[in-house]
Amino acid sequence: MKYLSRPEEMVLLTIHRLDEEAYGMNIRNQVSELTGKYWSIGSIYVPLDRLEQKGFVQSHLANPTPERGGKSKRYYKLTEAGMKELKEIKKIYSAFWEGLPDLSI
Amino acid sequence: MKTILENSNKTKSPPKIARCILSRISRYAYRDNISGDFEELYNEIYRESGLVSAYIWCLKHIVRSFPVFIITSFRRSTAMLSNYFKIAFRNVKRNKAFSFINITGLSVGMTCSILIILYINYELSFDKYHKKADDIYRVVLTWTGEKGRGGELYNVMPGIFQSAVTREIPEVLLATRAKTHEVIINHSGNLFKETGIRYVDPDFLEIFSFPLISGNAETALNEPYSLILTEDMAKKYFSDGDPLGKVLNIDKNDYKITGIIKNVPENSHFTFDFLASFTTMFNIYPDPAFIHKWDSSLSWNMYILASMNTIKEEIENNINRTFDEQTQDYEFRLQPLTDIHMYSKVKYDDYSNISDIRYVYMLTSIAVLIILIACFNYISLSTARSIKRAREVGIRKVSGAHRFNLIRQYIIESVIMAIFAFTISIFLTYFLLDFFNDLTSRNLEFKSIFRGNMIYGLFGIIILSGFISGSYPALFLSSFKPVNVIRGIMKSGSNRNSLIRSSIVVFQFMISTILIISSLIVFDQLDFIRNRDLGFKKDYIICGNVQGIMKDRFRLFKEAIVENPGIKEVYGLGVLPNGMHWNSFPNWEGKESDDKVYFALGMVEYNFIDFFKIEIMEGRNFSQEFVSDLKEAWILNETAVNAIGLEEPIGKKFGLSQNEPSGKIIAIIKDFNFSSVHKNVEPLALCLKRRDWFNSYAIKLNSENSANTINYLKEKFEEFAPDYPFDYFFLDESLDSMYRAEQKLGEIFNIFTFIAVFISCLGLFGLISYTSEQKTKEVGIRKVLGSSVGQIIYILSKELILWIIYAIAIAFPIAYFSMSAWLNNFAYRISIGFIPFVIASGLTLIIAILTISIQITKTALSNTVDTLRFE
Repeated sequence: MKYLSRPEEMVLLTIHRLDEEAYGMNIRNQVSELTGKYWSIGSIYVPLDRLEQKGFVQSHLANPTPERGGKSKRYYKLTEAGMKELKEIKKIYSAFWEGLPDLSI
Repeated sequence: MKTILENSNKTKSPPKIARCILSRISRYAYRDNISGDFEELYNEIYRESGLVSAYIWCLKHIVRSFPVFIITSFRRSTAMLSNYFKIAFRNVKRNKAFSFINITGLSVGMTCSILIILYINYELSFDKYHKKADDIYRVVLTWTGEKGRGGELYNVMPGIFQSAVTREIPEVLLATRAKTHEVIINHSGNLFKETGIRYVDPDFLEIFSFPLISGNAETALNEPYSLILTEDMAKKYFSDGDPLGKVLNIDKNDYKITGIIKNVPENSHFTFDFLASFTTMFNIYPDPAFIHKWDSSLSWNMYILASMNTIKEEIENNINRTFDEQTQDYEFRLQPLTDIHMYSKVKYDDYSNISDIRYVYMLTSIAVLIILIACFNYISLSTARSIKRAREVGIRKVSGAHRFNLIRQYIIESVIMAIFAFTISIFLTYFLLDFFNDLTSRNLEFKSIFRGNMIYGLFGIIILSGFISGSYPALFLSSFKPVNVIRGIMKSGSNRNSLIRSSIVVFQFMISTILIISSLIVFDQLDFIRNRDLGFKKDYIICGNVQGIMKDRFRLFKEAIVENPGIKEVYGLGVLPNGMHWNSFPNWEGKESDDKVYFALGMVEYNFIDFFKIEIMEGRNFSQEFVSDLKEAWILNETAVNAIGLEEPIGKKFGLSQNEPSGKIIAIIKDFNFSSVHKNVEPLALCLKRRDWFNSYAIKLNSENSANTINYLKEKFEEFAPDYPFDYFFLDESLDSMYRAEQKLGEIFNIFTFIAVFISCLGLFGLISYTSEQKTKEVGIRKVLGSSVGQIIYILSKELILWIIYAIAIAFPIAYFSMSAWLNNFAYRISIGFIPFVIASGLTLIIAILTISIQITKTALSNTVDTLRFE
């Protein structure tokens, strides 16, 4: 199986965390907050595109709002494959951390 | 609370350009959401930190998106490219005649431009190879306070200037004189005449970048009788080994060879084969004190090297201020080294390497005109054929093509055509370059096409001609309305279209007519110059210079050869009619103290006036019967008498001494032309030669058997002076060579005229084939209704002939004024008569009619049954 890149993992996780509220801007804000770094819109959409191609997320359009200049939002949702992928990632990382001393100490 | 709420409700759209870029680079399906996100983010920043920050943020993103934007745009635009290519090639194949006309016209036009760009590139490269070229100036002088003659420049400089200028003027770092000589080299018993020797100061090698191959640049020119050879001369004289340290015998003196230098590049305004140390001059010159005087000047070229970042005018002023006392009659002028070739303007400069910027302008405009004519062929033919492609446009538009896409397609098509024509023109250039070199007397190399800036020029030609020829057809074709064209309605814009086509034909034939008229006038003028009565006899006269011992023996030689029946008369030694380069401000009886008239002086032999058959208006010729003639007699030309305003001049005092004129005027002669016919005759004073400084002779031959006579002279000459070669030229040929630039111009004009007419006719032929094809049905119907063949020819050709008559009418005034301007360069010019205009219009009409007649006759004679059964 092919592994995801770090940004893809982060975006995937964020979509999961935001649940119903996951659309471009929100995902970006969340990722920026969690990583503490500046993320441009483009750098969110590239992983989003790839995740969608790989079938881990699904998107649908929602109603437009005035502050978006009348443009609709595109909401993202995890698919089953996406959910499975997240579990897989978590499992792998835990396996790798198993028995290692906590680095924060 | 309320304000915050209000504020948060306020929305602002980001700048339009940002939205444009974004929508272009984002994927179509996502475009809305992404730009939505962008606007949301923009608004967030706007709410939090204000409009300015939002704008800055936006700007930052615009700049950062440039690379992606360019890549995306490119990728998008190439998607249809292969289709454009395919259609373009199919069109070329399908319309063979149309493509042939376009490609031939364009490639001929491009060949002209490539050749001309090569030429201009070379012309502008003159003297630029010197490392310090920007700081090198030639110093020339101009006489001040002359009557009626302003600003003529002379490169005769006082020799002392060289040391004075470096000492007194801080901005001038180095200076060198360069004196040309004609010498005889005696190399192991063989005699060679060499004209390319220059006597220069040691600084010469430091100012100019002529690299020494061997020898020490610092010391090579310090000692008298030191000599540096170019590679070619080293090979010529010392093919068998290293010449360094050897000795070469020049004019009976031994010169030591102290260096070998690379050959002078051809794009130099002056050339040399030998450099000799200037200190030698002090030993060989008859009167060395001359070199140290301010008020006497021999022909030195003077070059200075200024320190960097100095302004030419400042140095010039500084020099003139500093030497004001020494230079009463004249002022100095500086000429930047790199300007000399194009803007010399110096009288009696070495013309072989001097050109004129006007020729560059003239050639450039001709090249542009020819390319335009070729491009216009494309425009007129493509619009004429546009109906055939209207369906394609309709289908493309229906399938979703924007107007922009269509414009791009047709421009790409014409650029493809241009590239194709360009490839052909590269081959043409290769084969025509030798011919062009002959024409312009340059030595251009084919491989320099691919060097340096040339590439941009060539690229420019392709793109420009592609765009010009594609522009109008693209705009026009892309404006078709799909509904109309698919239904077969083709009305809109056809009037405007035929207007464009007719103006193109008018323009093309106007240019052709102008060129024909101009070349006829140029031809007439050249003919006029060549056959003009110069005021003295020049036929069957051979001239030449003598050196050394022959100067003393010339009298004996003269007596010996005069017996020969082939020789009519001998003149010598003295100044020749075209050699009056000696100038001064003379003094005369009744002269106001501030009157200054610049005279040319001629020191001649007794028989000068008889020999050259110059007409005496008044007074008597020089005569040996009057002993005083040798010292006192002056003969003036008419212009001189008018210039000094003497009434009853015979017997009046005249001379060069500023205190008291010692001579007197004995005769007035009719003006004869002693310099170029570009200039009016100047004041001239002739006197008998008093010193043996002159070395020119002239021999008048019998017209029969002149070749034998010359052989006889050669034998006799070598008998008298075995150490010197017999060297001669025909006077009339030498005079002709003064007009070589004009003759060149004449030839160039003829050739380009031919090309312009040719390309115009190609276009006309294409257009007439198209229109007569359009009108086949009309012709058929007319014939059925009883039109005669003659009437049909009249109907078909009426319009075109009318256009050409318009073209001729517009060409007349333009040609008249531009040729008047050109003729004003000549002091002796023809007046523009009506004959060239009549010939040119006749010629244009005949050529045009011949071009269209084939096609029109074919259509007019066609069988009605065939034409009406067309579909």
